[in-house]
Amino acid sequence: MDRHDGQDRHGCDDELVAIMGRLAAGDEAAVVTLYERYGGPIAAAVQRVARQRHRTLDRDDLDGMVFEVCFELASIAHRWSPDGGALPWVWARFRVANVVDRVLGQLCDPLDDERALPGAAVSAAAGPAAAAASQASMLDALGWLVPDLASARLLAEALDHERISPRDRELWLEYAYEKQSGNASPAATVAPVFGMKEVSVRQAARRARQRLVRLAASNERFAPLADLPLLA
Amino acid sequence: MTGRIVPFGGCDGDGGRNGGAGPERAAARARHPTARSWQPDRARVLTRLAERVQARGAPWPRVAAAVLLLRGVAGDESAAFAARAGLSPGALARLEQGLDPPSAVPARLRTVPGLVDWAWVEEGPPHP
Repeated sequence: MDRHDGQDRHGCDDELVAIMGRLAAGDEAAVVTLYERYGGPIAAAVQRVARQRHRTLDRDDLDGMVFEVCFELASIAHRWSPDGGALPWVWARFRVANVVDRVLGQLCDPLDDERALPGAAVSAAAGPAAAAASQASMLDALGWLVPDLASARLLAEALDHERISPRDRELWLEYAYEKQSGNASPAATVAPVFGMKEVSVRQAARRARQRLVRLAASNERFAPLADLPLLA
Repeated sequence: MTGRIVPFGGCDGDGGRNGGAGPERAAARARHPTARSWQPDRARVLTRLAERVQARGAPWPRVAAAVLLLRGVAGDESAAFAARAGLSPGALARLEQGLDPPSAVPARLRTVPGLVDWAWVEEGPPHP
């Protein structure tokens, strides 16, 4: 897999891990560090949510939202772990959406923790617990992309079977979501969120899809996956 | 973003500070398309930080915002930043909590170029 400069095996670079550690310890200055060093990909994540709401953000709105997202990430930094493989702003996508919605006025009140938790729980801890949390989150996301829960479960199982990394699962699902939503350039939308080049996003998404297509063709148990629009 | 900013006396080859991040990574990040398309708005950051500190009832929120911004841009932990600024950890904590006036900010921080409008900090009346 192509990785952005400085990224370790988890897909998160050492500096980001250190910043999240400082945030988890309550270091308020680390909010500024996160904003300074990772404002670009966070801005891309904010823009992506705004586009899903069919709204365009001006520079002023975007800047304000990026800094608010940094505070939001600070408040939940203690629950994030690089072992899950998801970048903080991808892991906390519900929180990012909440910030955007608060500013856009789409929602009167921020979503409560109960709704935010499934997404926030993605890879919050290492080991089996993280795997279970990731699967729950994955099912949430798959609900958008596959027609029924059984198919979603089978797809989640296939992702496990093929040992597709947590980061590539997130990437592929984001990519597929954008593509299914009619985005003509899904890689251009997804790449900045993950801090990757567009070509790397396309390659990673294609590899993940090809592995699942091969699995569906070679293993009868996973054969129903071949009928999913997601793998067409 | 423009890469790592080291406010005073440092250089990018910082011997592994910040988890081993080096000049190559900063340069690579600066070249990345996401770095070119977004720039931090530090005036907004100062204002927002000051609002948060003021909401906690601190008497000197703009001082706190300025010091937090400088340490945040530097990427330092408290102890390292205090040492570089010539402050005790306790004195730095008081500044960051907005408990001390602008006159308590050491000259080494005030001479950091281009990040903080110190006139704005000085103008900030003490919060009642």
